[in-house]
Amino acid sequence: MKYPILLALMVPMAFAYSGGFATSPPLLGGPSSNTITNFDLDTREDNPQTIVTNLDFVQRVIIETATGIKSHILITENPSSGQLSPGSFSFTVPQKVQDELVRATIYFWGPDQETLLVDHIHQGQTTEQIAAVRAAPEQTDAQGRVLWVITTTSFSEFIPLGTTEAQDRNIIPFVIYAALIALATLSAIVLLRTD
Amino acid sequence: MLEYILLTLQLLLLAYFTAFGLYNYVYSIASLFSARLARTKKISGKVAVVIVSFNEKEVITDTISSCEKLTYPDKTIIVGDDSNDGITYPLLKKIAREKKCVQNTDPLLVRHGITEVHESPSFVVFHRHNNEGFKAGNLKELERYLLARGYEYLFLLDADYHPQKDVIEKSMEVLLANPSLAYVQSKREYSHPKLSWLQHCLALNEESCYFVDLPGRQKIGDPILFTGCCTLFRLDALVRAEGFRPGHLTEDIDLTNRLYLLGLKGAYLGDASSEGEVPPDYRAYRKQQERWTMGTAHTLRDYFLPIITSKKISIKEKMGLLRQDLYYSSAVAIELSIILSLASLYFLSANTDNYAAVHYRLFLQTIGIPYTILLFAALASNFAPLLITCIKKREWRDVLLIPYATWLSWSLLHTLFWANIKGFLRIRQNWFLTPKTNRKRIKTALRKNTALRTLNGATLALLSTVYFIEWAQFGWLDPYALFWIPALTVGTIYS
Repeated sequence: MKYPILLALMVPMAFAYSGGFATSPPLLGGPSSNTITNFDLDTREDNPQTIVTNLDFVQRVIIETATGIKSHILITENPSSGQLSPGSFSFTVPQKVQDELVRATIYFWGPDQETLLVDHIHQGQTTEQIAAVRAAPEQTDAQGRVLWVITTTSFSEFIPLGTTEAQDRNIIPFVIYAALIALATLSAIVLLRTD
Repeated sequence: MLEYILLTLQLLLLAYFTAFGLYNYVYSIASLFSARLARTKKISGKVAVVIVSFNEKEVITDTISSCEKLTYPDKTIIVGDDSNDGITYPLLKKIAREKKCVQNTDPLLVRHGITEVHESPSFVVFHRHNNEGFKAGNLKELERYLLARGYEYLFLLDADYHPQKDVIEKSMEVLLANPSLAYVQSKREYSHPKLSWLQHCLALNEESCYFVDLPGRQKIGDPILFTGCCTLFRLDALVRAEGFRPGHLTEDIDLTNRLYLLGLKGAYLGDASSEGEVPPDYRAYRKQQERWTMGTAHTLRDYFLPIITSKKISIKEKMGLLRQDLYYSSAVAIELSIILSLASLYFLSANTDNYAAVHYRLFLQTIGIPYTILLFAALASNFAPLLITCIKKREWRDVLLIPYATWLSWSLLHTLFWANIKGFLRIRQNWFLTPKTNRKRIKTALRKNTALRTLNGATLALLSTVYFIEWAQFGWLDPYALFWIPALTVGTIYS
């Protein structure tokens, strides 16, 4: 009789904030499942601070804030094969970091092509397109991906995506499961009656 | 900040459910190995076989007859009767006359205007003119009589139990072999061919206590619950614990706590059993469970601190007693976790604080695998005692009844939640007398509870909506739907 805990566990996995930074075609070589990583943020007077990651897409981030801040930054990466916003990543920060943010320079691994446009998605706003540039000096990883750079002055309030795929869902497993539950319920009603 | 609160609450609930699950597994496994009880062949002493009766006209004659077949020689059958239905007491007086009983008005034995005694050497009817203090009130009054008459032991039966012929000898062999024992609880069984399917499921749930829970406790040395009847007591131990507590809805758990707090113990005897009845229909079952839950919650409030602070019982015994007193509190924990899950859903979907929501996801991602394993292990622990019961009884057909037995228990969620609140707050309640039918199929005249049916229906609709959204939005087929939808449907229709 422990249902609700499971629900609470599963809900956050579904309401993934898969906005943030997405490219077309999606970035490749991502994690096998949606992952979130926490990084400590400690910008002092000697701004900017560089956060080097070992993530799949994001290689490092350089953060500049108006005043010194001790906080955290959460980076979420979506799998390249995922149904929801594949091959994308997002940043989430507390309000105070957002308020104090001057600029963030994000280095990430992307396809080897001439130009790369990144959709930066904000809640309640039209999608902003940022032109990524190749990092200098140019770097290529073992998978043949190239290091790209973008800058932004805003992290927070990415919109939750992923609700548009409901129409495409395969209904057969649901029908089978619903029928099983209906059968179970009917049998319980019949079996447990006493008159 | 909110993410820390949600996570902490979830982990506390998980710890709670896991602890209960752990007990289920330990007792289930331990019950597969027989416990060695010290026994003595030197048994003697005057035993009062006490049958407690309150308007038990359907069953009392047969129970008296079955008690007369008990082979222990130095015994007297005593019916402690509070009946006021105008049938049962006259019936008992008639039986008393047939057994050549005479009325005794000795003020040492009876209280004028309160009690009446009709006695012979082998049979006694001890009648109270009211049912004040319920079953425990009857037993408390009877205690004076037993002491005045020089009884040393009390074998307690409810009015619907037919004891195994040699249950007293077997219980006494164990009781007298260990001076620290205050009582020996013997096995209770419920199966007979005339049971309805509902009663089969109730029997399975009940018998899991006697085939798994109590044997498991005995094997690992945890406190043994006195379960209300089919128990042989030392009367002097009862007196030390100040006897039964009038008015208590679960006088058995109450007495168990007090005896253990005195440093006394109980033992479980699995090789002598008595056959009793389960409630005849769903409403009677619901009311019975409601009473048990109220009484247990009351006991928890009374004994939580005394158990924690006691120096006479070990930590293991303390944990065992607390587990017993907390047994029905799972309904409260489940209601809390439903509210918590809805709060989490709102928190994550309302999108008012992205950082907190994603941070919360990070925590869950970190603990996800062990969390899910523990969660499902705790869920599966509900089935372990039922399965082991089927195996021990070699009743393979009953394995198919496990889902139904589970749905029955789960269907009482709201009933048990409110019963916990009422019991914990000590809101005065009347005793619900579980109807006895003498193994006949009779539907009771208990009224339907419209408010409860509505609440169950609303919960069913809410959870069904959530399950549908889970699928439509995210593609999940939530396994809990298979538990809650049938359970709440049963609760909605039959309450």
